[in-house]
Amino acid sequence: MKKYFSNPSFLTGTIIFASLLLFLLSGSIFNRCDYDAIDTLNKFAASSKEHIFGTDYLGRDVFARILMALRISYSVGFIVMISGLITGIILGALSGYFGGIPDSIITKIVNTQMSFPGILLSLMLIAVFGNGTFITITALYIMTIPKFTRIARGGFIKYKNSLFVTAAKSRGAGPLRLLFVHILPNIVPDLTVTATLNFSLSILSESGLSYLGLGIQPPLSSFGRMLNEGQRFILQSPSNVLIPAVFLILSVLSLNLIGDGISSVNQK
Amino acid sequence: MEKNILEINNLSIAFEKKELFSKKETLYAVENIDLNIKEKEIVALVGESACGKSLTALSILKLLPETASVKSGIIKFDSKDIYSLSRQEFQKLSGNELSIIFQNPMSCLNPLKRVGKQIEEAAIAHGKTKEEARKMALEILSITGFYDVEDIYKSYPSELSGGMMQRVLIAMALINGPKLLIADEPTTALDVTIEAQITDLILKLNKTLKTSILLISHSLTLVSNICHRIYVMYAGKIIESGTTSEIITNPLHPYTKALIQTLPDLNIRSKKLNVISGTVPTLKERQNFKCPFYDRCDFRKEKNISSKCKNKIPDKTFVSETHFVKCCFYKGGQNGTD
Amino acid sequence: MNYFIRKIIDFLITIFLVTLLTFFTFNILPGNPATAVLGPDADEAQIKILEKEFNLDKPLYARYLSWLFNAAHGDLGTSYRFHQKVNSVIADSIGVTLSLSIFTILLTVIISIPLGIIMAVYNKNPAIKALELTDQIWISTPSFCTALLLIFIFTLKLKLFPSMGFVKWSSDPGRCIKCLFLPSLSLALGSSAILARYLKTDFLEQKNKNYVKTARSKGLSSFYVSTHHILRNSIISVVTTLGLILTEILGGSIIIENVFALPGIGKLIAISISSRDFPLIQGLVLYLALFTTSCNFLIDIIYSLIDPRIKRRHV
Repeated sequence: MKKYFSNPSFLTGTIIFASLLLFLLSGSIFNRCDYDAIDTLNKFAASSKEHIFGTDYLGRDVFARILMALRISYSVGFIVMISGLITGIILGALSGYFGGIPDSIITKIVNTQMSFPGILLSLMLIAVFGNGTFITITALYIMTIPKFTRIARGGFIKYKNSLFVTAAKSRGAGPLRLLFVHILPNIVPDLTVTATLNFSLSILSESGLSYLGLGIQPPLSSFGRMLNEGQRFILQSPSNVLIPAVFLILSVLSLNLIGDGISSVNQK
Repeated sequence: MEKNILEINNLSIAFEKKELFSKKETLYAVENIDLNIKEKEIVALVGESACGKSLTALSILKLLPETASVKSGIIKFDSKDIYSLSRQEFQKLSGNELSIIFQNPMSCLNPLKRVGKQIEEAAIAHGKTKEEARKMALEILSITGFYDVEDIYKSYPSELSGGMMQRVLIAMALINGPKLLIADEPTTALDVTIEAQITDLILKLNKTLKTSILLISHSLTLVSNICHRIYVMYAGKIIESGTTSEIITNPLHPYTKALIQTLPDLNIRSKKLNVISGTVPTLKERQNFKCPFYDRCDFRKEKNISSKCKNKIPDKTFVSETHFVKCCFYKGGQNGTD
Repeated sequence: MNYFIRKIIDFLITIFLVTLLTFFTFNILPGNPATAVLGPDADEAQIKILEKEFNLDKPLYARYLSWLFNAAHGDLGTSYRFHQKVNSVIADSIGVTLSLSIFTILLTVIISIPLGIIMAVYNKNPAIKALELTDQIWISTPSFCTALLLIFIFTLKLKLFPSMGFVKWSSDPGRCIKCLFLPSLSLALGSSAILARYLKTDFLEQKNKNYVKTARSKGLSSFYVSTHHILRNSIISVVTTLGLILTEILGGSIIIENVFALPGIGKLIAISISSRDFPLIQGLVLYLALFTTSCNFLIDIIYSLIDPRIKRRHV
């Protein structure tokens, strides 16, 4: 574990991520304002004791909205990442370990999906099923499956014929045991890197969707939405754009740094 | 008396490591070695892996990795101190009068360029025109034993076998008729039949082109067949040197003796192969002031001289004009510090 | 030759799957698109007419085949919202998106290649190390964020570039570039950061390889070795990455066009989604997916031309 922390990239990323989590936790405890409390008389208020980050164009407390946005980004990102990870491992095992026809089918589908620009897929689903948090999560989940499947499949192919697997097989281990007890621990490093990078990608994609007004719907706040709303009034209150932008960039940056750090330590 | 084409005096090479939260470390990989090669000679530098022989070769061509540097000593090629030459001056020598071939032929050629073009590069870099270079390339390819030179000229590295690639690399190194060729374990990555081909080629080139050769290897058998003189290297130091017959018939250093004994003799039927117990000390472990072979030396226990060897670094003892050894048993040896 | 044929077959299969995916996503929806368009209080007779017009009375596979057949002949149906042929609606916007994409790729290549090389060659320099840090920040910034930043600086404060609208190249090239500059830059900054990093990593990796040592031992100058040997091999990774980035750029341009109010495909997609104009969305998705698939296919072919090892590996 120490070798990860001596990597500057990983260290910085973890510090930022931990700070954001801390901010989220402490902020939620101490926050008094409601994120959707409209108070048009008080719009564009400057930073004050009551409104630490000021208010937006509807008089809503920016601090509370940032907390909500963080909460949503992290929850959506996390759920998408975990589901994508599990699905990817299963599909990767099916196609990488067992090979044959399931492999060709799965690979073809994965490759076809990767030829759609990511956002497009989500937009298609939203077009058909409408907006909302659930659809957003599903769309992002579908977006991440191919990435996890590819890495998992590569890993299973790499290890399925290695000596320790053959040895375990000769001792009578069945396929399930081989896959998950023997091979899986070896691909965990690569999967972790993919997981962190996909986490950050999900946060980015979600913000892109909510910027367009799709995805997460009001009154829930999300970084993209806050940026879209702030854009119209950028001259009157640049902080309404700056603050969500900074938090969004920091969330994504911290995860990218962590992923980078892990992959450079693993490469050595 | 032929002059020295290569003269190395007191050469030391060290690695410098600097990690994020620790001190800077200087670890010596090669210490105070002397090595000479005369014109038209084939000289061997023999030793186990990690004894510093490849680093020595790289230092002669100024190709040391970024973390390593020459800490002391002089390397003279054709009476010129190469580390005092400017970059342009040295570039004129490198690939021209002085060249090198490396251990792993498969990775030594640019996979994206045709072989012929890569051979020509060496000639063009030293002033030849494209037509001249092409002619020279085809000529040197046939000298190195290829029959279908045009085919080889047009092919990509991925289309050649290991043995062919090594011959291509030899051709590339010799196209400008160098005075010295350094061959760093040229046959280690190849199988035995190809090994014979390559060593024959090297012998032939030495005879016809009069090129001096520094042959680096871990195989005494290989070098004893073609070399005039042998330097034995261990843990960064040269511990014995002499003509091939002197070393093979009268090895003096316990390490050399043990090496000779490990060569399987087809005439004697024995149950076990002889081995030298233990492993080469790491760079850190070598920093102790004592004979580098101390930990693995059975000889000192036999002759009961352990107290002598323990804190002395042996000095050169000349047993004949050409044969010297660095071992406390044979007199010589200073106290402690170098 | 075998390699090319294999690749073409793959390409055709992928296109087929793309059309399947596109069609069925939009046609498995329960409920009646006709009512969606006309509203819930529509007249029975009007619904029947619209259904006939959109072939909704036929079974699913028949509709797929007739759509595919028409599509192959260039007819993608009629847009619900615009009441024009889908093709002509798209044709008006495609020029904008194409100009944006081309300009973005140009900017990306112009910025990233020198940047990557500098970062590799001078990688011990502390100033360059600081640059690498900012690199990470650019990668983590979504393109619309960069866009907002650029708008703030260049449009509002410096009043140099417009932040809205579009002028055709044919009518006013100067103004056209001005309108495209900020949008392309927003996309290009993120992509160049990624590309430059890939180039730098690959360059440094190649630098330590044996064939570089061999080249240097031949007495070649370091400039020659860097360009003719190292760079030539690193370009491969650049080409591959460019293929991946292309897909991202296209996805990003959907959002960027909405930020800068450019009348391109991205804006059309947003409009068509909010008005549930299925023929239009279908047509748009098909175009985009086919475009990216073809680009990836081309990149594969280019890759095999540069690297002679690829053909051998597959044979």
